[in-house]
Amino acid sequence: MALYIDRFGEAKIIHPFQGLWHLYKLNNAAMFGLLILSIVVIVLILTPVFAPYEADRQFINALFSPPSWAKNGHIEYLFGTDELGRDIFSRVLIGGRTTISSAMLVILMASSVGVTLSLLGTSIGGWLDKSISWFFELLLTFPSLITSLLVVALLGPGLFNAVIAVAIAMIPLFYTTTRSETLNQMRQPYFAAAQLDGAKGLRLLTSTLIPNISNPIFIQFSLSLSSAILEIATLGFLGFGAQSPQTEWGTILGESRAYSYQAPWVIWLPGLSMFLTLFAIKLVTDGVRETLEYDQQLK
Amino acid sequence: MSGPILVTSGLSKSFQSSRGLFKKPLTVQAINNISFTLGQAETLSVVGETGSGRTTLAHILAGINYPDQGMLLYKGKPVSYLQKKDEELLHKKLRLIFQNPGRTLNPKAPVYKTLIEPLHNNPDVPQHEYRKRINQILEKVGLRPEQSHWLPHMFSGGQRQRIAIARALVSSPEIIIADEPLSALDVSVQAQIINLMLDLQQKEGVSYVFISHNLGVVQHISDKVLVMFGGQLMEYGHIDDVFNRPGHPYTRALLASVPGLKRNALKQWRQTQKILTKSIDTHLGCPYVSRCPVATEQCHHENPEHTPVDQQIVSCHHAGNI
Amino acid sequence: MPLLQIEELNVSFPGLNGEIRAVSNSSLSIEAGEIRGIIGESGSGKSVFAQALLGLLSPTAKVSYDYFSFDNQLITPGNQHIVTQGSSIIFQDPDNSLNPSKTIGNQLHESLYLHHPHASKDFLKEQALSLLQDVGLSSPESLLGLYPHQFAAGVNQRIMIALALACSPKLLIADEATTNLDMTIQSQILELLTRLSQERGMAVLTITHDFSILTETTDTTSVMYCGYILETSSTETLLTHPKHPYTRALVNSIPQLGLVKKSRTHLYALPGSVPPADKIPVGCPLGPRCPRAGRECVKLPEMTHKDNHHFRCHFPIEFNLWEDQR
Repeated sequence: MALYIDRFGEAKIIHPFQGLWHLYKLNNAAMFGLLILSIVVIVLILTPVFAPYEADRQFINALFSPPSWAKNGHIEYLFGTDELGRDIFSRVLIGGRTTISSAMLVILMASSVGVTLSLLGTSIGGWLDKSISWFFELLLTFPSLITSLLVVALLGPGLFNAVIAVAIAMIPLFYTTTRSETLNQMRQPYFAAAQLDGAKGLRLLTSTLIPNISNPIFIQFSLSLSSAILEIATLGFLGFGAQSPQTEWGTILGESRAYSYQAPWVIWLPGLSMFLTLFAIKLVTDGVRETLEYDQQLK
Repeated sequence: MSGPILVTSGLSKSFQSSRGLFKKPLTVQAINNISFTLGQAETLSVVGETGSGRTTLAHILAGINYPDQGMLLYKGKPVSYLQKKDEELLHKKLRLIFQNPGRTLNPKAPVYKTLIEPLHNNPDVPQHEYRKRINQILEKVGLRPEQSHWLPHMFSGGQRQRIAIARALVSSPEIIIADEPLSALDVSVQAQIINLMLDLQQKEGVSYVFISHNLGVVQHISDKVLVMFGGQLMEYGHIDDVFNRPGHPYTRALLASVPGLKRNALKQWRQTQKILTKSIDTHLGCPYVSRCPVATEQCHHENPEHTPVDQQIVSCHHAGNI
Repeated sequence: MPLLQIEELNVSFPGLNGEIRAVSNSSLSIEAGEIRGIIGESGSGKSVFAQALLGLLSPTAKVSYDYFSFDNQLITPGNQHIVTQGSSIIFQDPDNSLNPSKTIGNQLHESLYLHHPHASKDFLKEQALSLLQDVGLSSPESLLGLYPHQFAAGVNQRIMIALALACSPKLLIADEATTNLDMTIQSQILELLTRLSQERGMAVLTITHDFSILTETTDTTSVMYCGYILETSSTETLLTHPKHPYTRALVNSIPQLGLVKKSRTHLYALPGSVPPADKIPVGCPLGPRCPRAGRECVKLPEMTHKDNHHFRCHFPIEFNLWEDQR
């Protein structure tokens, strides 16, 4: 429940999400990011509608066709074609789907494992908790790319293995964020008060702990989304992630790298799309974080 | 009901703080040998500076911490800290109101959820009665039942303190320990809360252990007073006895520091700031020796006993002679 | 001619939902060497008032006054620095006001250097030692090399006062200077301020929410609420014969030691709570809470002047503390 004063000065009780949305709307940069992100999301969801061709369909007589707005471009190949005559626009859309959905899968996996392990650890306590947290903090000192490369080297290349690798690399982040927030909450006076009232175990967890750590975890979630996208794409770029004919942003960039002098659009158009998406995600994430912080301040 | 409801004797607690790998950990004696009795519908005030151990005492009484030594008798029966049912009983009948009301309510939970918590472990109240009971208690503390689904930040500071008092009342306690309940409140609201606490005492027969540094309020609402310094009992007795004929130098210094009728009479008992730097108190003598105007050699080495002087208990080597 | 005189001070800040009026229509005069008090709760605007006098507010604040004079000079927004240079301010919580990474000798040296830029190091050291002695710290030579966290409670506030005295101010403002200190130390600091005021002919403005601090140190006190000064009179009169209902609530609701009439009786309490800064009621700010409010109270009362007792109320009370006690 949030207390909201509308423009006539009347106080109303509205759902907390509505209150947060009103705050979010005040942030222009965040709204802009949200606009771009919505476009991206709609296009990616409706890819079957928007993409004119399949990702691996080759047009032999239109190899290296420049983008449609260039001198020799054709309108049926909006972003042009690559070295095998494949339509870049379709590849960007389909590849984007792959990259982003893999990234979301990564985040879901990493967060569920990380958060659960952390909660279990702090509930059990003792040396087990201390050793697990020491292990994860150690892991955190490695750049997550190194960790994911190591795992992928063990498992072998492929999109599925890349997802597993990046997920494993991101677990420590969720673990430590949850843990530090949990420890912070356990120090709060209302936590002790709830325990005095008789709350313990699962009840204490669900009523007092989880509502108060859900905000920081959610923020970590959104922050990690862009990292996950980048890492999946990096692995693809290096050749360890999705293998062709699978289409994925990183793989597209990696394969076409050699032709970047002859046909630069092969690189910069997919790259630009990736950049735009990540930029929009960053704006939205920052906006969400600022909104939540501002909301906290108002209280 | 005859007989005191709460008797404590010789409560002591010390804390260890580590000083790194190579030094022995530091033992800080938080409270030492505290004894008092509390009757039904009585108010005992605990007066002392920050660091005098009064919060530790409150925590021990409320069951957050366990004493190293000493005994606690509730209605004549000793409370053993090892027995779980004793602990649960203590948590129900002895409730604590924390110092800062804004921080002790879960910011994400509507108020009624916080208030319902003690009822979950209370077999006396069946589930369908929860609502009714919460509404009753909210009205008792001067809040409206419709406000029970609000979040804590929608209330003012004074209202939050009322909610804290409501939470303490939910399990029908007999003793409420209030740790500086007024200091976070505006002055005009403090009077409201004092009136509320007095009302509750009259109507429900609640006893209070009231921790405060405001001597005027203490004089107004207390029956007995316990003066603490450095974790030890300095003086203990009925409020009129202690405030009209203070026996301990520290009590005299306290009374001399507040503007009032006693101030000029007790001028000579003003504390002298002898030691300017913070030092860790490891000596065995009286804890007040660093500030006492009449400290002697004995006071540095020997801890004074609890001596009865006039009608009260004073812990001083020179008790009765000053 | 009073040392400081300000008429009709108004301070407002831009807020989320409009302007926030921190101080409204407030006037104050302080004589040289006088110890003056301002009492008010949180949100009363007392700290903003003090900061406005010294020009310490952020540039977003809108400050306006009808008349402002300090030390026989007319003050305009252009020469505000005259007030800032001739006054000092000490704040609450001395542990947070001192730089924890510098020794106090260093900090004293810094302050003194700013006011005596051409003096020799020895002269500055001598001044520092004499300041520390003035504030009641014996053997100051041994203290110069120590850091703030090494001092016992209450000593830091004395050091703050020493720092404040470095510029030989004509006015010292103590903004809740004793609020977080223990009571015995509080009375020591108040005694110190009184002594310094007498010795140096320095005026002291004590700002607090605790009336017991003012009863024996100040002669005149003003009561502030929601940015307005509601009553000004001698401190004793505010206690024994207040004219404003808010003064009675503020001063008399919390029992003062030794003045408790009958234990366990109900205290005089105003209902409700202090309104937030952007929702100050129109007219008399106490209106919604006041037990004596009438229809006139939607209009701000004018300041009534009755031989040195000034108050702003349509329905002033006739309260006599001594009769009430019987």
